[in-house]
Amino acid sequence: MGLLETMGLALRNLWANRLRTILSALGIVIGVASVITMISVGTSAEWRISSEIAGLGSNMILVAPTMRRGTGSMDASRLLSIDMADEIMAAAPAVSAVSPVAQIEGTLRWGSSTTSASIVGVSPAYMGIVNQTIARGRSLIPAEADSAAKSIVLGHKIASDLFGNEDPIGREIGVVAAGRRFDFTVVGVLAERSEMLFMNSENQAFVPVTCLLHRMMPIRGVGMYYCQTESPELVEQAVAQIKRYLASRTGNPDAFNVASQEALLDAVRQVTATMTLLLGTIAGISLVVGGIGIMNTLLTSVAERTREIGVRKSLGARNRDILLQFLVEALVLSLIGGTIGMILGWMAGSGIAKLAGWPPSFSIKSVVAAVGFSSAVGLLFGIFPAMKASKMNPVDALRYE
Amino acid sequence: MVNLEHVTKVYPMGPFEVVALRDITLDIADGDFVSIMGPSGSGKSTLMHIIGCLDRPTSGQYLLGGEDVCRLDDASLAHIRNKRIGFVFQQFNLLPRETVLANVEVPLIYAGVKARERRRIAAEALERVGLGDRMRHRPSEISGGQKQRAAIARALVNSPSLILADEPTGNLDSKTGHEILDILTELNAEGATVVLVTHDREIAERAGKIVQLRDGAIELIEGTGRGGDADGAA
Repeated sequence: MGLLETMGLALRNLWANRLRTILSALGIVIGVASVITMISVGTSAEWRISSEIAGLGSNMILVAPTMRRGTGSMDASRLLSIDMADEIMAAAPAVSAVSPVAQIEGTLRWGSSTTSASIVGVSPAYMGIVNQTIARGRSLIPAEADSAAKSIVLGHKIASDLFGNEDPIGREIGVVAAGRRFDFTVVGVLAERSEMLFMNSENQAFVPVTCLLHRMMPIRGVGMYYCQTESPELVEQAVAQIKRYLASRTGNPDAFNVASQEALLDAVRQVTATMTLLLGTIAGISLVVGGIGIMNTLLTSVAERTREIGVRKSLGARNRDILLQFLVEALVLSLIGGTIGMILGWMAGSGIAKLAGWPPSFSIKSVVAAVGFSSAVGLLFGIFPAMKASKMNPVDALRYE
Repeated sequence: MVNLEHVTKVYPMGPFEVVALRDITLDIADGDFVSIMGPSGSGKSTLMHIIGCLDRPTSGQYLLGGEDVCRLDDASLAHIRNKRIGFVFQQFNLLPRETVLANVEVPLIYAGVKARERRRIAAEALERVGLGDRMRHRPSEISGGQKQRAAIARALVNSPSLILADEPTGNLDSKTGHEILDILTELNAEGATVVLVTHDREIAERAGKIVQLRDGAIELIEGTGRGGDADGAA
């Protein structure tokens, strides 16, 4: 009996028991759909986060205090002070630029318009480190840092929220933060940049870090340092130099995290790979459950068609013809489920990606996975019922009522 | 054609053994029309299953066309059933979901005949049993007599030399039953060896020879006066 004929037979039998076919294929549909969704969401998420880290700047190193487990607070030895910038530059020759980053939440006011913003204190080197370009006006300059000037560079969205089409350069705006009000002069507006997870510069306003710490904030430390090297080759060297400097300065080598962009990327990849594996395992379990459903349906089908098996054997069917008949039926059933599951999974995956603003990722990999998983499940769970059918004694099968 | 020597069939039944056939020695020649008769439980069906290569004897020897079939593996037996034996059952045993034509094609499928050729042979066989106009029907849409004709057509498509009919008229009224027997007689006249299993004396007498079974053993073999070529059968 040819394969094509056997497939036709399988389709007719499945069609004759439509409801049962649909119900037992449903397990595979759900299993494959979740596998595909997990793969596509995992891929999209990783791509998204990785591209953000990569877009942060080039040859960057992040220095941040380590959180102490439990308390979440930091003691004095874990504080990054503002004067460390110069010390890092001196102690780490591989570092070409340094900027402290400190941040508070506040409200900006111009006339009757207000908008909330993150007010970030940085040094003039910051914009260069994160590859941020200025659309209008200028960036912060060293003189403003030295004098703790009340100059402010607005994120693109803040500027349009407050000023609309008006030119904000040179205007005095109100900044309310930590319960006090200050007047700042707008010196620049950032260029528009695709939205980012960590660095939502659209809603940020940048001021000299000296101004933020000396005039506005009651604390002395900064949140983190961004450092940059001239070339990628120097990053490793710079990380080692910064670590050595921090250890000798604070006497506690574990007080700070010094991580290159590459290390961050690795960490993200590791986390998303673990997540994908975890979710994939859960999806895989539902695939196994679907397989058991198929086996159950097939066993029922074999029992119901015992007499047919006897008749076919009396007419010259070999054991392998019967085996093939039921195996193909299992395979067709699981492939139907796999195809529907793939379509649903793709829809779910691209839906989630769209909601999250990620690029949809539907690869040939997931098609292969869907077909591969579902046919493997079909074969695995179909082989037992098919063997059972093929080994039936023709006389007993013919007598079966 | 069929040579059985000291054939015994024993079924295990829990701790017991049931002897279905004991020491059967029987020769059926090419072109014979033989009835196997006996009350229910006498071993008629078991004997037919062994002759039809659906079952193997526990002991003894069975030669089909001179070949010792007890020694063959399952696949070779399937091949023999496909090519050399045609079964006709009391329950018709048509596949309910397939059309009459598709049912008749089944043995040809297992014989590896190509689709177009298959359709032609099956249609011819159906014409022959008078079902040319019912090919596209499902078994549930035709009468019992028509079903049995379809089953005979199915038994014929691979031109078997041996036709085994197990109570072929058991589910039919007597007029239809006689029509079916006429077809079998005709096939015998054309050269096929026919073995008919029945418990009905009148039907058994359509054959040239009657083998009477009782308790799994041959009680009596009698001639009916009809020749093996069955000229006067109709």
